[in-house]
Amino acid sequence: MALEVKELVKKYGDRTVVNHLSFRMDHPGVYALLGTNGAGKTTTLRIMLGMLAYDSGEVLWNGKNLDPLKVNLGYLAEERGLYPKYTLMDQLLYFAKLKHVPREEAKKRIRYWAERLEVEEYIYPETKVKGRKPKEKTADQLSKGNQQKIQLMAALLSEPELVVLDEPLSGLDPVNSDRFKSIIRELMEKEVYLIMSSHQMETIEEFCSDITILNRGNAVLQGDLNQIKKSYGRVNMMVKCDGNIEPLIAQFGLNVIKKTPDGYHIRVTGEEQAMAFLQAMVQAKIPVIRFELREPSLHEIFVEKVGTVNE
Amino acid sequence: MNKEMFFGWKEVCAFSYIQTMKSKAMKAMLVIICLLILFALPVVTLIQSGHEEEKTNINTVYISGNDEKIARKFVTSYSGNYENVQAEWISQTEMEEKKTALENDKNADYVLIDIKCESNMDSEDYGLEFESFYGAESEITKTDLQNFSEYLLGEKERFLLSNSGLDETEMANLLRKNQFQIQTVNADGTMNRVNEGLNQMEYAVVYAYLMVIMFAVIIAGSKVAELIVTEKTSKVMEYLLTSIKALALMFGKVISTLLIVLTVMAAFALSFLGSLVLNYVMTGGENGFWPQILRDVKDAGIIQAFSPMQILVAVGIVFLGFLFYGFIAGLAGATVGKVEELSEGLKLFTFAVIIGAYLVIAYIIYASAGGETGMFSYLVYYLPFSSVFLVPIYLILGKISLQTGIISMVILAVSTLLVWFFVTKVFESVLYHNGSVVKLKEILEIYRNNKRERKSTEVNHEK
Repeated sequence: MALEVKELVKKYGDRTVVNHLSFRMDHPGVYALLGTNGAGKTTTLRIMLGMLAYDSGEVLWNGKNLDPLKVNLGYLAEERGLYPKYTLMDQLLYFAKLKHVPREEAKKRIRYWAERLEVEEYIYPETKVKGRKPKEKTADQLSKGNQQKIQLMAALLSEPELVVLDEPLSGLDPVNSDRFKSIIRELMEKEVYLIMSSHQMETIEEFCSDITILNRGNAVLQGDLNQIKKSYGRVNMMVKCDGNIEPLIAQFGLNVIKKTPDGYHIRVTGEEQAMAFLQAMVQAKIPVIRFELREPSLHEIFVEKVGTVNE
Repeated sequence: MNKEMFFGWKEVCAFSYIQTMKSKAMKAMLVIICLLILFALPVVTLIQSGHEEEKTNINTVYISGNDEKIARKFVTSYSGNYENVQAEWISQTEMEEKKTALENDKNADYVLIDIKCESNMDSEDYGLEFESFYGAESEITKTDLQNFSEYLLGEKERFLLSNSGLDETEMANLLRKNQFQIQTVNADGTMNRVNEGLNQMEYAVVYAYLMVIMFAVIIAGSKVAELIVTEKTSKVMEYLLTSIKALALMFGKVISTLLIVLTVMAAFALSFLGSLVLNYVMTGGENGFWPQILRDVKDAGIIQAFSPMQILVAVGIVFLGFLFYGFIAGLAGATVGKVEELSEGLKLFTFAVIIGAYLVIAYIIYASAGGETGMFSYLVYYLPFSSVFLVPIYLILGKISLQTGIISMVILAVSTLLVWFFVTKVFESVLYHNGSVVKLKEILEIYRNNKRERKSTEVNHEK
């Protein structure tokens, strides 16, 4: 199976919001769409899901046009949506029915995900009030985080083969964020295709093998994340010493990216320059507490790429 | 268009229907209104019967007149509330004396009725004129006299025909209500009543139908818009559109509100039926206010013998009318970004309903006045905005031919389809709009843009 987006173009009047975007996902895993606010990530996802018409291009699933009604897909929207006044069970069963999941099977899956996401108390209330049947919760009685969990349940009830997650971790506390991450890992193990958009670069680095960075509708960087990082080389040197290294930095003509109490973040031209600098510190008898040479983080690549384009 | 385009409409319909009927507000509204309807009739009857039992203060009626033969016809035994009232003939002189006596007589328990009869057919005063007098200081009230005069005028024909040698059956036949109907005989042998205007009862029935159907259309339309705007503002719509096409979503919503309105109407009708039964039991089968109205409608003979086909066309037009207005309301709901702006968004829908209903109101006022309606008739029968408010009841009353009804239904069906496609074409684009209410001009612009985009997308897919 494969997901392929070919030369996608979407315009609103004279404004091009997605400009000839192409990417391909050949194997299960997580593909990341990154970009600043208004870069065109959500528009791209909506087009892929058949919600928005587009001007040109193609969205293919196994070589055929992706029809959301024919492909079993799950969608967690950026702006979460639940009926505020209906009970959670009613709306989950409704969403499952629209995804062709039989009622009894849907109930089993709801139970499973409710336990997994620890929201049973809202869907299966047990406390009787004045001897009356306990009242089921409605969505507006839940916190934002819990609503997000219910929304994720709705997206996964049909056991989809393709899952689209638009900013899945935004607004979650660290505990629930970890819970969501473990579910993403579970889906990866089940060989599900996941498309994720996020501003949280650490999360993307944790899960995604392939990325596309969008800026104002244009793909400014695409490909395998490890390859991208490798192409940059190990040019980030983190140094923490018990002494003054600024004369040495000046001597080597290095570019200090950031100076913090935890040390210096310095940009070097390559490993040779970094080793030469380390030798110079040792020769100058400056006690080195920490020395690290690493590839740039996704955050740094993102800022560099988007910043450069916008400049 | 294929089957998949419509997948899910039943699920949407069932879910919307069940959730709406389950809501506390709906349950409370239904219970309160049904109880009001259930007990309204018996209460009105109780109040009325209380009034009827209130005895009149009139004990004696003195009648005089310039034409003794005619005036004496009213000196007879009265019935009902007036069965104990004595009627007595007096001369014009005695009449004048009794008038004078009334001035200061606090105990005067009589009234005077002077019947003037003008028999000259050329005179402007041709006919009977009743002049009545009662003592201002007496216990007899103005209401007593008004009620008695109503009784006297209501029974006028019976009094005048009395002692004419007619037996009871002949009298009953003469007092029967008469109608004159004009019908055309068509080439195929079928017959149609010529639209000779609306009589008072027909006007009342058409007006009552208009009010009920307009109420239902407004309620259903508002509900469609409310459901759409709730899904839009709560962002559920975005999720739903991954499982179902906008076309089917809209259809499901409109049908569900139609079912909701039908359920509510059925509950009201059952309550009314219950009320009639209760009223019947309470009064022991005696006349009540509403049963009398229903009998009057039946007696008026305005409902013609209609064929199942006429019923089918009438029901079809009502159904299509609901869809037509439902889709317009759905679009109105989608143009709104916030629930608070719903009333502003519904302007388009309200405007459409008002145009349709006002056209029909103007038409029935004109028709009841006996005016020649001509082209105006065809405008009202065939315009999709107005046809649902008039054509079904006109079919039942036999005021229009079946052919006219079918043409009206076909035009409404085509218009509904066009509105449906138009609405679903702009629906998806408008759904992601979160700003102020989208105006009609902007909706048309979106439609044109979408049409262009879809063409280019289709061309790309073909490639």
